[in-house]
Amino acid sequence: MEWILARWLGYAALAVLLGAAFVGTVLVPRLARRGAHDDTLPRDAARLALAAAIALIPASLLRLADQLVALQSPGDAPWTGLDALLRYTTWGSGFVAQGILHLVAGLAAWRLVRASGSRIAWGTLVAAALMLCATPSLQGHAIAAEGREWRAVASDVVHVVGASAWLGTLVAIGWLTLVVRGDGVRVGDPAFEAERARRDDRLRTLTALVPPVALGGAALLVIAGVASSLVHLTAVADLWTSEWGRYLAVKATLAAVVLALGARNWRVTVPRALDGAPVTPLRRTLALELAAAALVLLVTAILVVTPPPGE
Amino acid sequence: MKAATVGGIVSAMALVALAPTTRGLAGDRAHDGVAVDDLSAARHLKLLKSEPAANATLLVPPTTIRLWFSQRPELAVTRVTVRGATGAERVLAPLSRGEAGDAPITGEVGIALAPGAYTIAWRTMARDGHVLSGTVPFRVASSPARPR
Repeated sequence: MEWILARWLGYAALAVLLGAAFVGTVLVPRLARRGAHDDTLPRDAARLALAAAIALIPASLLRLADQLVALQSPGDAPWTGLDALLRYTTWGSGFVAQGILHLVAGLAAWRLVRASGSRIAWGTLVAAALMLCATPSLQGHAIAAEGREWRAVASDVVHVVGASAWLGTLVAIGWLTLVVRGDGVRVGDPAFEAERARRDDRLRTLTALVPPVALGGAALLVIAGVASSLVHLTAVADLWTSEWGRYLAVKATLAAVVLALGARNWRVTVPRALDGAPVTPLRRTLALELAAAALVLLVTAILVVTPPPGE
Repeated sequence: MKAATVGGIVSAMALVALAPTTRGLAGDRAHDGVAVDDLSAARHLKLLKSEPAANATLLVPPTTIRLWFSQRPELAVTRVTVRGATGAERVLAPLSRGEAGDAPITGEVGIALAPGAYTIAWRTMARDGHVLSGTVPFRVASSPARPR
């Protein structure tokens, strides 16, 4: 179970990293073009990216430990096989690449917390986050689809980029509008109401900007997800006769729930909030979307450790 | 205009991503039965056969163990042992594998196995990180069978 949670943490952190990077590089400039300046938003997004980069460290180390333990025999020293795993296997190459990209992303985020206007740092963060989206494919079912591995890897990379862009931006916005508070502002303080009003404004303006990112990400996610699934399915009946297929069906259903909630926000809740209605319904559906998105990532973590049909 | 452009790009990606794989699945179905099993085996790592074969009784002790897998396993983390009935275990090292796609993993036993029951225990890893293991039991006969 802890290995599944480690994978879940890794996927969630990767998605948040890309989501925070998108907020900083796509949404903040769009807000500025609309004249809605939010001075603290870039720094808040950078802090979130740094937290995601730090969360990736234990997630990766737990996955490495999991892999190593699976390859060891009783009585082996804890590091037995580590060198061979990291230096001479495809999985190890993916892990090392991931480690280097974590470091680059973490350093870029750290720089942005101190100077959130640095374009080089934002560009580095986006590039590292996008490249990180390619590394799970080197450690997943796609690379093992012999004879069609590059098609499977390409589908997988697009799938992860789409998922991270969509769900990550969602989580980033959820964090930046539902959770984060100004420095030193506490519940009950006189300044809290002003802070709450500021967050509500941020919620309205940011969620209004999300649909293009969410639609693009969701489209990539669905198309590439279907393509990836077809590589592993041997027959349609695998969806209900195999464990892997059943998890895939659950994941697709949960993703459809997130899509439906997002569509409702896009067409109904956000326009109402922009017209001056209270943001409480928007907060509620956003929280539901986030909960469903967390479940999607959890089922994904289970799916990748479940052998596909025929294995 | 922007929506149309995005829609066009997404549609093109859908065609590129889905068309070849869908053909692949249709092909699997067209073959039905055995062909699907063959394709499925080729997609995922599994042991296809071994030498000595499972449950074989050998008149001459094997000097080499060969394991054929459906895919190229990660040789660097593969471990093969031969275990006797007493529990004594011999690790086969170094292991090797030829360049051919269907080449087996090969390990020299190194000693002459005494008559008795043995088990080949193998553990390897697919390129995607999935770790697989299994055993192959065999016997070395105590004396050559005499022709009648």
